Amino acid sequence: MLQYILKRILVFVPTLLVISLLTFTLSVHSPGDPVEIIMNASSESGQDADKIAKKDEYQKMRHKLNLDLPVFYFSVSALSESDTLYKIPEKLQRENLARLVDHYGNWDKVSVYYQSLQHFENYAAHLKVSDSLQDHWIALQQITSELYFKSDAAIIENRLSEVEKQLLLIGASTGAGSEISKVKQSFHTMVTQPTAWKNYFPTVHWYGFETQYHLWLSKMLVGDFGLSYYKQQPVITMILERIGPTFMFSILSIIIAFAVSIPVGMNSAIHKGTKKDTFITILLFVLYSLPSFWIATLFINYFTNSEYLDWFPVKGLQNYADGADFVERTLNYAHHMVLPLFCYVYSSFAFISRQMRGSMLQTLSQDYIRTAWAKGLAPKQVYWKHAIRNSLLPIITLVASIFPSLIAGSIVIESLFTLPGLGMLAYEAEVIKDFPVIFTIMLLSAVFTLIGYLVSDILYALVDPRISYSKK
Amino acid sequence: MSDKFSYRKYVWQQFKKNRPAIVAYYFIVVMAVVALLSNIIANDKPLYCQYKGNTYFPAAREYLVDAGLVQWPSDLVNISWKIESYDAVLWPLIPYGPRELDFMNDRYKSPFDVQDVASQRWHHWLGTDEQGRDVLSGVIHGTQTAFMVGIVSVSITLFIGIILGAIAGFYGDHELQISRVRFWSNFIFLPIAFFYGFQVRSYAISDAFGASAFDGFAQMFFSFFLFLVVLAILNFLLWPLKKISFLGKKVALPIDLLINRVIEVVVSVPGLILIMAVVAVIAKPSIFVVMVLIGLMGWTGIARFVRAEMLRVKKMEFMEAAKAFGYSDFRSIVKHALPNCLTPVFIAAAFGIAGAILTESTLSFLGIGVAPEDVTWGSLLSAGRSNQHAHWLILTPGIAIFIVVTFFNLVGEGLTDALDPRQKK
Repeated sequence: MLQYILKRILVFVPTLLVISLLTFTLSVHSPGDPVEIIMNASSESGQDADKIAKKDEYQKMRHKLNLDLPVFYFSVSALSESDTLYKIPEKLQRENLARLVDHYGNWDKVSVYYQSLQHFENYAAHLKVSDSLQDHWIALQQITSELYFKSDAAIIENRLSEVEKQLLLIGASTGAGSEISKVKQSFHTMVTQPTAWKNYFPTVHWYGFETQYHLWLSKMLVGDFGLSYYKQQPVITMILERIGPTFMFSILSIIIAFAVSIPVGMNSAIHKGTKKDTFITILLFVLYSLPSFWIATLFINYFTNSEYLDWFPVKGLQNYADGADFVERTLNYAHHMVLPLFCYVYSSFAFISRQMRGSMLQTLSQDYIRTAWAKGLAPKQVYWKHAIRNSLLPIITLVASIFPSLIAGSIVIESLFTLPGLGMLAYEAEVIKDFPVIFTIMLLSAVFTLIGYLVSDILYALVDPRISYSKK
Repeated sequence: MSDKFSYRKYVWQQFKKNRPAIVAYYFIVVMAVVALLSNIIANDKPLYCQYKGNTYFPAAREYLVDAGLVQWPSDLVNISWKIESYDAVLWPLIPYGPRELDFMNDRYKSPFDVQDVASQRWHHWLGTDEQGRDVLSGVIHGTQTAFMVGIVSVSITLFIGIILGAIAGFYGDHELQISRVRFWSNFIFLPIAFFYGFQVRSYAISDAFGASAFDGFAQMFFSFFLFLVVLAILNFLLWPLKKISFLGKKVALPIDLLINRVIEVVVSVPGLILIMAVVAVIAKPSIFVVMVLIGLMGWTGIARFVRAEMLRVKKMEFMEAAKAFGYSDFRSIVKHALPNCLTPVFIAAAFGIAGAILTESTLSFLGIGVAPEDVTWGSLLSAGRSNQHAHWLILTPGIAIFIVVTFFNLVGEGLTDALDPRQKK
């Protein structure tokens, strides 16, 4: 037994690793530059800040987020790709360089071009320009910085000649001319000496353990899920703030779902083939097919509205006055929870009671039930004492499988009833594209589901002595 | 039955005994026809018109234009269909397109209100939304979307589920024997194939995703195909090495274990949240992305069913006969084992369509993964949220979703009963 549990837990680890890899892959490919987003969200006057100070801050933030490290332990890449590309700070520039490499396959030439461009940008920024020509100077810098994000040869060519034009208009010295011709030179070398074959030659780099994934994973193990993009808080605090209501709703709906479904399923199995059975079946079937977001919308529209039936509060979890005593508070909570809880729970009625019905029918056909009848036990005893025990066994495993649907339901129901739970947090994060929050919720819900499966497997093994998990 | 006994006929007869299921089945057929003909039933373009001396069938032609097969004739490119005067014209039953804005009847016109229309022929039978879009037309075109969602996602589900389930069940953990050299070499081959399939083409894929989700998935699929081709070529090259007895020694590949691990991973990530995460990452989300993702998440059930059936079928005599005849594994699986494994698949497919439609409408209700040009029941319904009096916007799409989901579930139920051998009479 212990061996089985240990084995089950051991299997749990690689599954978790795969899920973490999946999440990490998504987060790496999420659009936008996290450093920039966080910096823009935190500084109110991002524009006026000194350019150099900003660059410095950028580097610091990038280091803080571990983005200056290689992504994974190893990389399978083309021979042409540089294994040091990740050291270039700005994400968009890095992506553009990677694209150039993908095009021409000559990282050495590309990096020369990049350096000459940086050099020229620096040079242009320190040009002394008379006040009347300020516009041209600004345009010059503008075009130069645009070059970092262009990978199409024709466009680069066009921009470079534009730069030359502006230089002429400014009337810059010959020094400037030689600077820009260096850029042009390196650009032409890059274009005319491609080594595209290198793109088709795979190489493997090993980076060791100082990698983004490694740090991401090890931080997560101690509960550090990173920073929210838009709220300057750790993701974990946001989640802890919100997990209470969702947890409460999940537990309550599991309890209610089972408390209702087990007797209903039993009843419909006992009265199999009668009108009662048919009626229950149809009713549950209808409930099962009703989309919960529609029911929630109908409830909100017609049961919380003073024009129709104003029976329930529209939103939130409570609105009691400060001086309310315990009973008042509880009632107030309960009043707020009736509608959402119903929406949470009704669709699982059908699912669980059908399983219960099936499993009960199976049990009722067993020999020992016939024996129970034969020795003259009352129906009550046969059904509720002998039959129910064995038919409950497969139902236990369902606890785990309704968990994902509860999480999915929480997104809809919480955002419709404005309940401050995890589901609403996920929805809010989705709308503003707060990736760390979305991915953390995804990862955590997967972990919870896995734990649910684990627990139900172990429970199943514990309650059913017939199942032997030792090796044959 | 006087003629030859056929299983299909038998199942159909069993199925016909189930009244609700058969009614649901016929309703689904009708709705499928509505979905197919939605351009002809509800459209802002005429069915038939004579315009500047030429005869056109614009509503029907729209199918071909949408499919990219033909273009609009130059006369009709920038035409406002409603204002133009025709020599002769026949309008569809519902003369409004799902996205057409009727400025005379905007701001939630109820079906029972007095509407500013030329005649009763132009009445909005299910009212309009805030921008004056006809709700009935939206519901009809939404049927098309719903069926598309069901069919596309369940096809993906079936494709993956049947293949993986069959392999896992047929080979188990011990029966897929490969040579030692092949086993170890593939640890190197897999990254190489990945390199040629995906790494080399990474910009082609990401640019395609930037253009449209369909192009993106097409490129992904092509990359996967390349991956398989490279893997096959590399494995073929190993063939001479297998003759060395040490390298050629067989080892078992625990394919069942591997596939079960993959199933566990997919099952443990709540689908809705994964779809939300992926949609947030993708540059241009559309209903198509949602369909594909629902399909990619939903195959585990089918794989499990097929695997279980395969375990049962594998032990039967005709499979041994197939082996004795020296049929290849491929032929044994596809021609002999699989046809006997598909019973639960039909049931799962019917329920799967219902589930996919429900998931998609939930997502589009929340506004996740719908492009502005997608017409879905979920997004129609969400338009009704901002006006509590617009009951026609809340009720009709909701009822439509409910009916389709119920019908597919009923058919699933009917199939369960019809295919259950215990009910044989």
